[in-house]
Amino acid sequence: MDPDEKAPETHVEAAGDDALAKVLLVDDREDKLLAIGLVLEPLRATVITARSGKEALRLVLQHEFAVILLDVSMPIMDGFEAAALIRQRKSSERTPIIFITAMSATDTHATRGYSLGAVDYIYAPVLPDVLRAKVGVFIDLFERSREIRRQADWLRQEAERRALNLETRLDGLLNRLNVGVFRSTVEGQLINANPAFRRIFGIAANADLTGINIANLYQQTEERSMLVQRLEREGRIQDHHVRQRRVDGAVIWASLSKTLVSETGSGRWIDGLVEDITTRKEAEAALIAKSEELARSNAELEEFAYIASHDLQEPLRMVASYSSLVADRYAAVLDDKGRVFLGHLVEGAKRMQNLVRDILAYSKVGKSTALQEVDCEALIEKVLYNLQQMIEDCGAEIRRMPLPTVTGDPVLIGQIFQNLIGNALKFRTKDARPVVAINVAQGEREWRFSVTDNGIGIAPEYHERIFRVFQRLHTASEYAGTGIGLAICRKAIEHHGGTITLESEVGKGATFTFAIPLAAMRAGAQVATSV
Amino acid sequence: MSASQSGFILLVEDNAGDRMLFSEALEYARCDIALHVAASAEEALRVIREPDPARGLPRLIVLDLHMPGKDGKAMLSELADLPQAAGVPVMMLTSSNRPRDQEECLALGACGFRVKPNDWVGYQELIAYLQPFWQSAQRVGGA
Repeated sequence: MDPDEKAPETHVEAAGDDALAKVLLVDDREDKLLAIGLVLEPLRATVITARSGKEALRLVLQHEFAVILLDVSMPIMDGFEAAALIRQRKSSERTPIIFITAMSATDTHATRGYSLGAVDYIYAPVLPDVLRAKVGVFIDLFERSREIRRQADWLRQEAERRALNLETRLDGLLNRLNVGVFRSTVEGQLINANPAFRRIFGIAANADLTGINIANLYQQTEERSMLVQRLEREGRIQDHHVRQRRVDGAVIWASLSKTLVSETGSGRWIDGLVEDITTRKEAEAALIAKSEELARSNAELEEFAYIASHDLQEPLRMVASYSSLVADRYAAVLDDKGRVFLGHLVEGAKRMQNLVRDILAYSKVGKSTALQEVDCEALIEKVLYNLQQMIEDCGAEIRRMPLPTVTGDPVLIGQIFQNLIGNALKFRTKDARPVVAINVAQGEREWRFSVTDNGIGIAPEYHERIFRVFQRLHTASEYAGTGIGLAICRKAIEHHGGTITLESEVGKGATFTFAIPLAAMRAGAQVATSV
Repeated sequence: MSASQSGFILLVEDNAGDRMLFSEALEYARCDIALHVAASAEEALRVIREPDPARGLPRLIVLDLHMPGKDGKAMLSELADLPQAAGVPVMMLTSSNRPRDQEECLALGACGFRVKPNDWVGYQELIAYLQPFWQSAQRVGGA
């Protein structure tokens, strides 16, 4: 029987990593193969046998072995010759080899064996426990290194997979982004750019980017040299707004961010982001134009109110002055009816004058006066002094708590208090002593002032209407006034960024509450630190 | 007394109604001073440039700010260039008290700024207010 043909087909290498480790057993004697095979049986390994060195060489090409057990004395090719050839095979150059020899331990054998890369010797007769233990160590070693290799493979594949994933995502992002991303040399030659960059500058998708110099994409080429100088100094530029020029010549507004990158060995370049902000810029410009227009029309309105009130006052003064002159000088020559007629004339002219004066006052609320610290305590003293005659005439009681210092326009806040307290006194009931309470509470972001009276009250359906210009709930003979006081109050409070509300029912008095923000919240308002 | 013969008030006012009220109030207050009314700045400037030798210069000019043609401010500037008007106080009268107007007029040499009265009583008060101005001017002129 040709030993070469005896290669056990049942031991063909299994494909999976989890396959048992393989041990190659080489001996020319069947009985020894069987005996050693039995000794190794308890191990977690597949034992493959070869009857000659030649067969062993063939097998090492087909399988990866954890360890090779090699009989030294074999005909044709002895163990040492076989080992030398096994070592020449790439796949088995490092496979551990244990020589089994019946010969007594001679140094020449051992030296020869070790020089061939043997890791150990076992002497016949073989001690089963020793052989099993030695082979077991190599199987264990093989399995561990196989496991380590497997983990390393998995890690490498995972890293590759992640890198690929990241790259795909980055590519996807760069392609979908509306922001242009590009890299150029310091001199301005474009190296690469994403699709958005091409869109922004109108560069065809198939055009060669490297032929483009960034400097030509500026409306003014010098702008770029200035930016590069800044980059050299500061390393990066953030959100720089500049006029750029598309390749079709159209001028756009762009926001540029650039970083100067230098990597050892590969030189320096500029990484940049560019965003087309033309629409935003145009909207901003439109907004500025709008607000300028608004300011202009406000100024015109102010001028109109001034001129109108002036021109209205002129003839009114004539009516008022001459009617009062006639009343003063000629009342005696008129009959009773004539004197009543004249009285209406004088009164009507006076009321009209008050209306004109109040329209002027209303139109003046909100003119840009600087906000300042307003001592409400001192302010209310002044207001109560102005109203003193009225307070005494109706015997009113004023109850108030100490008032804070707020940020605001002293004239307007004075008007608010004067109008609210004046109203509280004016709309009193005939059957009770008027009581006006002025209170204040500090909220999280505002001062809340309130003026409460025990007067005639206001029906809920009028709570909104009374804040509008010229809205009056009573005839002039009942309660005098132009109906503009509360409109001035609301406008003045809103000018401070505050609100005014009303709680009232007919016959149950009224409470007006208004809030003045702690800090000036009006856009563009500036607080003067001292008066 | 010589005061009645020497000196007068020059009222520069385009509105006839105002001119008459001023004149009435002056008369009512029994002030012993003459009144010359000019309906425009041009007319008033002639009174200063070519004074009537018998009457001389006014002791007080009462000047309306808003007038068609040459207005109060323009007249103030021209008065500043007339040496003969140097000692004559000018009181501005206007129907609105805009702070900017007030500052400008004072800077141009006006001695004061009054809002036009709204009724007859107001006119009487205006005359009482003006009295010291022409009286002190009389002393200056007489010195």
